[in-house]
Amino acid sequence: MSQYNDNPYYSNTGAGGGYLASPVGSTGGSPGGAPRRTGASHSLRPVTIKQLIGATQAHADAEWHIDDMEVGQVTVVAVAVSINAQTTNSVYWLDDGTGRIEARHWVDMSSGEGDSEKFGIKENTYIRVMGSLKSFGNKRYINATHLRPVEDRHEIFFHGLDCMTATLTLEKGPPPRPGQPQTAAAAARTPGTSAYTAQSHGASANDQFSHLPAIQRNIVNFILAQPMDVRDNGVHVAAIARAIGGDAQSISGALDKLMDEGHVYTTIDESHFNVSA
Amino acid sequence: MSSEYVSPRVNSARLPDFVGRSVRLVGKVIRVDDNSNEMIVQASDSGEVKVKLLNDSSDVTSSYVEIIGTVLDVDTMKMMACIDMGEDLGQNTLIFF
Repeated sequence: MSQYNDNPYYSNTGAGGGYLASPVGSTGGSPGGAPRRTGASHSLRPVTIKQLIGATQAHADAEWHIDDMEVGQVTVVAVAVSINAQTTNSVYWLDDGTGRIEARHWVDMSSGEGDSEKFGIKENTYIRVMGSLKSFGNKRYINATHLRPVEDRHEIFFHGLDCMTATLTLEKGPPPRPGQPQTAAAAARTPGTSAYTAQSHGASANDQFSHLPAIQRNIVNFILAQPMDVRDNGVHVAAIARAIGGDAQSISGALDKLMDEGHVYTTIDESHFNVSA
Repeated sequence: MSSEYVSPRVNSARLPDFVGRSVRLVGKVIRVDDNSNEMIVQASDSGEVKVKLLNDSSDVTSSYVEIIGTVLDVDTMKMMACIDMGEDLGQNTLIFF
């Protein structure tokens, strides 16, 4: 059985999450070269205006990329330098110190009131804008879905730090958890994969069970390392004992504990176990 | 096209690096002098910066402000805009970037 331990195709199956990152879960790759939708297109990323100005697009309908990382929705915090209400939309000139960009918000025709009044936005104040990046001719703008004034000015500085955290996390992976070796988090990320899916890759087995005593954690990890068809029938207690070592008493004690807490369950009989994931 | 609008956020110690350029400086209003049309702002690193006002002191409406302007010399700025930053900004916790 142990020859499967190093098999990358099975290492994260059933570990909870990680479906998008799983190399065998190829259902997302649609045939015929149609644009592949990834998790990033549904995510909301904090950005600076400079990042939006520097964003690239392969062609007019393609997803935007910042540093080779796909972006979906974006949020900026910036000063509304000018507000220009028109019949069908309102144009906000935004300046956050890193650059300037327009945000357009399409007016809901059913409500009579003006756009900026509705959101309580005044010129020369900081606002938060959420939306997606669009281009029209040579001009780039944010197609804004939500706008609101910044009430607590600390949000301005929070946003700056938020942008740095998001950018660095996408670039280098999430920071190591306390007690986790640095190398695990520093593993190279493939550009284009979302950090959220990459995060659950491999690490989740440890995260979810990290609070357990070592012997219980080893048992869980051993079962998780087995191929799916073996796990469905359950892993025999003798195989577990062989892999983990130690005396039978402590193995069965640890299994009882895991069962009591609902981490594992018995399958075809009382001596085969699988992890509840 | 947009590079002309770049205004980095600075504290008083960084002003010498930006003489002649646009910056934004967040600070506490220490005093406003209507006669000379100037005010003194204390930046996050406690350094005091003299700011030449745009029109008059009516632009300055709060205890904490963000001045957008050009740096004239190591401790003087010429205001282009002033943004209300409220009354209780955590002066010592600000991080500038």
